[in-house]
Amino acid sequence: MGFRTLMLDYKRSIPLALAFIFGILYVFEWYIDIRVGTFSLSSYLETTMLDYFNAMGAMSIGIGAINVYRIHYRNVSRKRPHWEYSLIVLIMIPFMAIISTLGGRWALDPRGVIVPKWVYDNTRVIFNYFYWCVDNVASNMMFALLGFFIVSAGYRAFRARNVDAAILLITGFIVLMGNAPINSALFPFFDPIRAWIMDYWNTPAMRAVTICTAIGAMAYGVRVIFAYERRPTLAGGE
Amino acid sequence: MGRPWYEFFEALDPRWLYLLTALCIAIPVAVVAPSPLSITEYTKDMFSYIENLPPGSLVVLSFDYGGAHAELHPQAILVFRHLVKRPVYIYILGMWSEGPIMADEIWRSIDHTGLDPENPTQLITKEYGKHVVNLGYLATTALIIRIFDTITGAMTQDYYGNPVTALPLVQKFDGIKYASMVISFAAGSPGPGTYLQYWATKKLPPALVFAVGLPGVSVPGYLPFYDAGKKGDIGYIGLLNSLRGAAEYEMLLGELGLSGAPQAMNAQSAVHYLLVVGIILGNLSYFAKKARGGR
Amino acid sequence: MVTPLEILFVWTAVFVSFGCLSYLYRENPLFRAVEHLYVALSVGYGVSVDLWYFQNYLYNPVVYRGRWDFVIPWALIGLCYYFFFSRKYFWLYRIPIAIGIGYGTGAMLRGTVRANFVAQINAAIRYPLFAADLFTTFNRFVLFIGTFVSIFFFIFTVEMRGPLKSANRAARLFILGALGASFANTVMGRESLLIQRFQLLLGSKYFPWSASGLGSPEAGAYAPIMTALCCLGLLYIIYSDYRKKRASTTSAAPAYN
Repeated sequence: MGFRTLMLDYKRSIPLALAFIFGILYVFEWYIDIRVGTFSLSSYLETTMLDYFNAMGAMSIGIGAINVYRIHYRNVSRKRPHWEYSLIVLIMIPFMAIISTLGGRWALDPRGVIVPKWVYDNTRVIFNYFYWCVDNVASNMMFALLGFFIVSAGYRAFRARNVDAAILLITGFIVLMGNAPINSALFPFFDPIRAWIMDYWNTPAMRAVTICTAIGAMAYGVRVIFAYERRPTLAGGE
Repeated sequence: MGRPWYEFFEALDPRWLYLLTALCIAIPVAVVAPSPLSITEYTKDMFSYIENLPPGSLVVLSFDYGGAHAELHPQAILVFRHLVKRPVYIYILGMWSEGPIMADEIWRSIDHTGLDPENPTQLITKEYGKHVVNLGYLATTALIIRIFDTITGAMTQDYYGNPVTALPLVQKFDGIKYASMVISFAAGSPGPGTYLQYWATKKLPPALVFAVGLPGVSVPGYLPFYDAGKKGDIGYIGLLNSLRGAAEYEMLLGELGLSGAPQAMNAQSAVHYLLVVGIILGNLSYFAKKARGGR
Repeated sequence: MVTPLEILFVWTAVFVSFGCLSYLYRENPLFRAVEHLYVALSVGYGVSVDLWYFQNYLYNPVVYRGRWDFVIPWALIGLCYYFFFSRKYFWLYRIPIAIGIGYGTGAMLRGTVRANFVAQINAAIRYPLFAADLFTTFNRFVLFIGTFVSIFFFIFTVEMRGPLKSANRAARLFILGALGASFANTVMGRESLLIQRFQLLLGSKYFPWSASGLGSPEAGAYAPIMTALCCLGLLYIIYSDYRKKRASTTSAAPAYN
């Protein structure tokens, strides 16, 4: 879609223009700080403008929650397979929302100004139970399952099929042995070799990755601001 | 069974590996034994920099992790205790909401005795408000930027709800720009690079250095910053590498039993050896199969 | 003194952990239930965080500090987020998104240039290559050449011919070595998480009980009881699966007698 036709379509051009204005403003301010009297563009953008963005973002209450609720409601109403689990979700989302709002870590009224203090104290215990014993533990355990999968993946997939895979294997083996603490006593020669690999073999490659990722990010950022990449700004549109 | 040995290893059900992994971790966790440990240069650099901080310096500790980070909490406990021991002042911040809560946990559980910043040869009990202040969660980027220049202008209350103007330490050092060192325990986003992006890009006072405690997966990616920091450019002067870094720090600090990291080292060794044996067996069976004409 | 409530907290944590661990054996209803419960609790908790943000960053400044400039136009623009659910007026949802993207991209460009780009290049080239002893000089050469050829590897605008081919091969050596080292460090990192989870299951005193909201190490000492019960339950499920499998294979075998 050409730029000219794009600008005539207000539904696309307004968001793109807004992204351009704010992007350019922040980049421009970085190089040239405009000061008129006591007004400083840099302090205005870094303080007041960011407060405005927070106020704007504060209005998006529960958009994700509404979306998840819609999906699971459809599962239950159309009796799709495993709809019983969606029923758990439908019941627990409002329950947890109410408990967290009344007694959670981000409770709206922890000092009991409007809502009586005993409500906060009792819901606090229920919140602690569901948050620390179920939510936190489940999330940590899902993450920790990766520990099992990495061992089984290492066993099944780490084969020296060709020279490239052999290099990967050798450095991986040396660093693994160097990282195992017991090898400080059993095979102490792995330590200095591991240190050399991390400092002089890994560092240049990772430095290159950092620099090239930075170049890519800067190029992509400039493309987004100048509307060559429209997908992020148009939230799934053209 | 008539099946060649390499077929057995190639076709091994992964659930046996899960069981072996579970045993390799459960047994050393249940039966705690001391483990030998060598100290890496990343930990040594961080420890010696903190040991050599001039008395009266201000150090900022940033807790940028939540409950899921098993590697960062022991590191934080040890570094916090080390800073309390030394004659320095401490500000605590968090870019993650759970960070200051972790810091509060640590402050309540560790010993508060340490050298007096005003009289470095004397041992005193460090007090909250005078030697240590927990500034709480930095919810927005604006706050991170603003707090560099002024604390009283950026926030009204600390983590516990005390007005910041009433805290002696904030009256003494009203801004992060007075700090000598920023130590961040970070994983994910906002993470290890965030302070470098926001604070290092302001006009840096000559003596502000950064150090970081990282989970194992992030370390290779941040080693270039450690290399840059060692050379005096924007980067880290010290780095703690996962649970092993915490164990090494505990050895250097000398207060054993503080963080439980050295006790986990045997389990680490066991799993590493399991993986190494698995890789060797897997490769041997792969080559044997190839030699016998398999695909 | 350990209260029954603390023991309930610890036992629930152990039970939920086993619900997740049971996935390693096979997909089962307990795991699905825990998974859906986790999603629901996270989303519900997220709603309360959103409401707190609303209270602190909009309601309090407007009502208590009279900042009506927060409402007009910014909160009104923020209302456009709800047009996500409308098909006809979806384009209004793009307005606050566009503002956020513009600001985020601008801020990223500022920070990334100095810290990730200039400083890294500085560190790579500004320092002397030759040192007093041979080993350090060799290391500095390796560091410099490695950085140079690896950056070269990522530039796709030039065709790799002649001497560039050997540079490419050298770069692959460096990058593959770095990936192997990354894998090994990742193993160490992931295992640390798993070790901490096992410290919870086995009631170890080295687990941060109070930092994880599960009470105290004294309450944690009761965890192995639930662990043992859950292990027995898991063994029972494995055994009944084995019996079912044997029954189905023996009944499937045709009897030609």
